[in-house]
Formats: sequence, structure tokens, C-alpha cells
Amino acid sequence: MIELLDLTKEYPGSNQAAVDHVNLFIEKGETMALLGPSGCGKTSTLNMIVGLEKPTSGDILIDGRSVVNVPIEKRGIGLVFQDYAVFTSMTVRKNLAFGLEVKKTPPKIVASEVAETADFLGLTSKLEVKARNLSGSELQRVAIGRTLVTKPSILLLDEPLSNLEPEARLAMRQELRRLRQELGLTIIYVTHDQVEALSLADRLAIMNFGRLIEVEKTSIIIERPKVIEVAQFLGSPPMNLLGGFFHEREGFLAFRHKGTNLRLPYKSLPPNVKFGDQNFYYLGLRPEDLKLTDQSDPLLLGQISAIEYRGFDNVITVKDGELELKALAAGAIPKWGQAAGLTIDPLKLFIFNRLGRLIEAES
Amino acid sequence: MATSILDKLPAPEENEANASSLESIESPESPKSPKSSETPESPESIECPESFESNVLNAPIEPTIHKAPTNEAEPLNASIGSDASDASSEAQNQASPSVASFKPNGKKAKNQGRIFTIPGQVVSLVVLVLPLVVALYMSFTDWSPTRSSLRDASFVGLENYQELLIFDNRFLQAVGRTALLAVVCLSLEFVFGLALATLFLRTFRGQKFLFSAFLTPMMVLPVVVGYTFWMLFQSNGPINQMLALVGLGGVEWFRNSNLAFLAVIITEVWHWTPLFFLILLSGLNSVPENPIRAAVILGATPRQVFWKVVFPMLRPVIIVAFVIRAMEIIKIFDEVFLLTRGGPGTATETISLYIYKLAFNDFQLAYGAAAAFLVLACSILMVHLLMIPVRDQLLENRS
Repeated sequence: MIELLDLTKEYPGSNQAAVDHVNLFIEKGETMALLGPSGCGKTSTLNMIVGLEKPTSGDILIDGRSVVNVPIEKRGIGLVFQDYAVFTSMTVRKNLAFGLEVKKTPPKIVASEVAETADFLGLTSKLEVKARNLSGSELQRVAIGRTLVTKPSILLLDEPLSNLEPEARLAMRQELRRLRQELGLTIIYVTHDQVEALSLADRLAIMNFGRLIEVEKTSIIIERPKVIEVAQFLGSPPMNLLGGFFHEREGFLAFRHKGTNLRLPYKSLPPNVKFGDQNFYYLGLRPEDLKLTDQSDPLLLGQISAIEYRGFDNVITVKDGELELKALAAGAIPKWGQAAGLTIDPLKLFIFNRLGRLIEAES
Repeated sequence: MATSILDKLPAPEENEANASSLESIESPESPKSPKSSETPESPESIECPESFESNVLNAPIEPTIHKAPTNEAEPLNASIGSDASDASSEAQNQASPSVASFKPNGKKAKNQGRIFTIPGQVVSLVVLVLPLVVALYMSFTDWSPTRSSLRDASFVGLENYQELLIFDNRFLQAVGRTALLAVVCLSLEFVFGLALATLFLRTFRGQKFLFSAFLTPMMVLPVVVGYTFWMLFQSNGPINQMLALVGLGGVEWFRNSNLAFLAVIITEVWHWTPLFFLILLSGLNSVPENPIRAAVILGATPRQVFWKVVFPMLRPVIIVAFVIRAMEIIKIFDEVFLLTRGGPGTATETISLYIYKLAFNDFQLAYGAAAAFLVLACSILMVHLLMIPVRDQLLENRS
């Protein structure tokens, strides 16, 4: 169980805090992913938890005990670096044994622990190989194994898969899932890759500019992000977000964005949304929910201004005036420059207020 | 993308340095570049017909694909023309011959290139290789300049070498002495250099000034160092005066063989510790941070971090520093010559000093040449032996 209380880190010479009053609670045995763009403070947070950096203010509790002044090696935390940081001059065996040997553990125990860990990670046949001759995913496993040998209760992973080839990445993800199940470790996982975060974590903590934006169960956050910054970040391509105003028109509801109207069905609005030019809203439309259509009076009628081919589905940008919407379309590929209409299920609209908070339809 | 594909094509002349990638694209000799016949003018257009996207998406992406190359090409021409429209033809005239000169003229261009290297080769042959060969021949004769010319000297085979290795105790002692000097000096310089470099990893007040100050000895001429220390070590010199303050007066540095040797060591260590310091500092700075952090997290003490993690990564740098300094010490001459002239007796006579005496005091040039070649062979062997443990690490290709 880890608790971050108002954790703040300021670096000298920078007027913005790298980590800004972060409050986070992580259960025992839970996998939490810290997700955010590069430079959002997630690695700084990690370094503070592990003890490589001292927080400017705030506290870190592990099992209810403050660890800010506890030396690194006594915290019982393992950290796996993005570049693995394996000791390249040593053999795999020496690497795995390192954490025990520096603590003067009897050689017999070291040997058995190393053998067990190597077996667990499938490294037994590589034990005598010099680390510099290993492949990326093997290095990764050595880095994890080297940490596991010291029996940490918490494992921190800093972008563990970003240096791997796609195939190895898939295998490693499986490996991490198994690790979590078999060892019951509390895992904090830092990544900027949402697919990784979604596939591994129980909960996501999304950070930006040093602040924690939203913490939510993985399944919920992807379905209904409560904050516009999260909506901006999740999804590939991310949600279409338009700032504008709602107006009532004859027979339909208009959302006006930079002089272009979106035709929305009446029933699509939550009751507490106000009309008129004083009330600014953000409208969110998921590319997955937008469909190309031939019917008259679609949501948007425009021209196809860009097509991004991705294999099974394609990202199609439809443009009318200043208004652009990205849609995901499978199957037949429309032509560039061709006129196209878009439609959406009215229940799948996201409306955020001017502060970027989601307006819930139920309330 | 265009260049990366094209570079992989077998260039017609791979060893020729000036066979540019452009040449290899357009060369009719290169069999695996079919595109060259279709699109001989712009290398950019090659990537289009080959690229994966264009095969799949030929219809819809058509406008963008065909625009790309022309968009890049046209503004170029336009900018030349717009500056001065009548100058544009001139510009083209200037441009076309330079372009043409890059085009392959096959064997002819290659031979032309070789012609230009001849002067350099002649010079190096005359001033480097020839004297070496003459000296090597000399070392197999009994020539002495006081007797006759080299042509009349009699060929004695390996006699000189035999004499040196079996009977010439003075030579063997000089070799042993030089080796001892190398071992002692290198160890001291390494220890001091490493200590200083470790100190300089942290920032402290006056760091920049001290950095320059510590590097200065290295830049002083060996002759100056030798002369300065000769003065310092005089019987009534500053060092003795300081020693007298602590009750150790009257040390005769240059009259006692051990003390003379010590004086040489002190001078040499003072002079060259900065080189170790500099090399080790840059080595320490290039050690990646994360393995060190990882070791700390795993519970290693600072001492363990240094010896188990940092030191192995520093090993190539250390050995390179040792090799450079070892070569210097084997050749050491100036300082010793000015300090002691090899004395008292032969107590500080190094290899260079002995060879110098052989050649220029005794005029035994042939014998001296043999000694020099022996030393050369030994030092080449030593360097290669030293390099073996780190050679792979140094030559390791970064992927």
C-alpha cells in the first residue's frame, strides 16, 4: 500500500513544479499505471517513491509509514529502468546475484535464489552469458530478475517496454501479467503508451504538467473520461474535441464551432446544458463512434481532406469550413476530396463544460 | 529513405573513398539498381514507385504522391531563376559541369584519384619508410661512421641482437630499469589521477581554476620540466631547504642511486599525472547514470558501486591511458637526461639514454639501431598484449 500525500517536486531554476501536489493511493497487489505525455512528471514521481530524488514537500507512506527519510535500499522497492541499466560487464548470473551479494548474503542462498529467479523468468540457459551479448527482451528480463531477487514488495517499472520490438513487447506484456499474478506484487508502471497502460493496469493515473488529472479504473476511464485532458490523451486517434455553442434551430440542434454548424438530434443533450452564445462548451466525439453515411441531414457534411491508412481501419478526416472531424472507417475506402457525411449515435456524445469537466447525462 | 536504400546497393568500387552514393545510384555498372534507367534525373523519385504505400493506395493518394517530388524540385529551380533571371543560365552552366564531374567515368576517374596521392606517398616513403629500412639493414651490420661508409660495412647477421640479448648487461639493466620506472610511475599516476578525477566529479568552489591548474604540468615542455626539477633537487635547492625545515637536511639527490631514481619518478609523476586525470575524468563522466542508480537501489555501498559497476565500465579508458603513458615512458629521455644524465654511474640510465650513448658517444650506430629495433618490437608486442582484454569492448559496434 502506497500513499502519496501532496507530493511536490520543484527543480531549481524552473518556475513550474515538475510534480505538483500529487495525491494518490495505491492498494496492495494493485497495478497502477502512471500515464502521461513526456515531461509530465511521472518519472520524477517514480524517482521520489524509490528514493532517488527527495520531494520538495509532501510525504510518501508505504504501509502507513513515511519513507521520505528512509534510505533507498531499506524501502523494499525495486525499480526497472527504461534502458534496463543492466551491468553489461557481468554475466547474467552476476547481474541477478548483485542485489544479494552486496548485502553479503551467504553464497549458498544467493545461488538458490538466483536459480529460482532465472527459472521463473526463463533465463536459466543464459546464466553464464555476458549481459552485453543479450537481446532487448532478455536484458529486460535480467533487469526485472535482478530486482525480484531482492524480494521487493513494490515493483516500479519505468517505460519498461518502450525499447522493445513489437513482438518482444507482446511477450513481455504477458510476462508482466504473469508476474503480477504469481507474485502478488504491487506494481507502479510508468508509460506514455496508452495501449500498454490499458492492457496491464487495474487503474490508470493520468498526469499532465506535473498534476494528477484523473485516477480511475481502466475500463471506466476509457469509456467515460471525466476530464477533457484525459479525453484529449486517450484513444488513437484521440477524441475529436470542439469548442463552441449550442443553438436551437428548426428541427434540429446546432453546435456552432468556428462558424460551422453540427446538426445534432434534440434528444442528445443532457437537461442541464444551456443554449446560446454565453455558454461555451466542449463537444467530444470519438472517432470510433463516427460513421460515414449517405443519408440526408447528417451530423456533418463536408469533404474528405485526409486519409490515414492503418491497415484494417483507416482514419478519415472530414472537413467543412474550419471544422474537422476524424472518423475511423473500415472497409471500402472513399476517395480523397470526395463529399462525405458523418453521423453518430446521440448517446455517445461527450459534453465538457468550459473548465473541461464532463457533464453527466444522468444527473 | 532514398539514401538509406541506395547505400545498401553494392557500389561499383567499394574501397574508393570518393565513390559517392550518387555515383552508386546512377552507375550503369551497378546491376541491382533498375530504377536508374527509369528515373535518371532525380534520386528522390526513386522512393515513390518502390514504396509500400503507393502499391496499396495508388488511386486515392495519387495527388499527394505526385506532388511531393515536384514540390521539392520546383522551388529550387525557381529560387535560382528569381534572383536574376538572366543569371539563371549562368547558374545552370556553373552547376552542370560540377554535377557532371560527380558522374562516374569508371576506371578513369579512379586512376585520376590515385595520381593525386602519389606526391604524398613519395614523401612518406622517403622520410619514413626508407630510413626505417636503412636502419633495419644497419642493425645487421657492424657499421660505424668513423670507419667507413655503410656500403662497405660487413653484414654480420644477428650478431648485434645476440650481443644485446645475451652479453650486454648494461642494455638488459636499462631495459629492466625502464620497466621498473614504467610500473612505478604508471601506478602512482593512475592512483593520483583517479583520485583527482573522482574529486572533480563533484562541484566545489574554485573547481574551474583548479582544473586548469592541474592540467598545466602536462603542457610544459619535458626539457623545461627536467631543467626545473634539476634545479629543485640541487643540494642547496628549494626541496632540500624545505626538507631541512623538518630536520632532513643535506639529502644528496643526484649522488645516491636510489634517490636519483626517486627524483626521476617524482618528476615524471608530477609531469604526467594530469594526463591520467584528464582521461579518467572524461571516462568517469561518460559512465551512464542508470546502472549506478540501479546498484544503489539494490543496496550497494558507494565503494561497491565504484568497484563493481563503475570500474568495469572504465576499464577500456584506463587501459588506453596506460598504453599511451607506457609508450611515453619507454621512450623517456629528456627529463632523465637533464636531471641525471643516467647517473650516478648507470643508476638512472633508461633504454633511450643508453641507445643515445651508444650512437652518439661511442658511434656504434649499427649496434644502437639493433637495440632500438629490439625495443620497438617489444613495445609493439606489449601494447597488443595490453589491449587484448579490452579490444572487443573498444571495437564493439554500437547498434
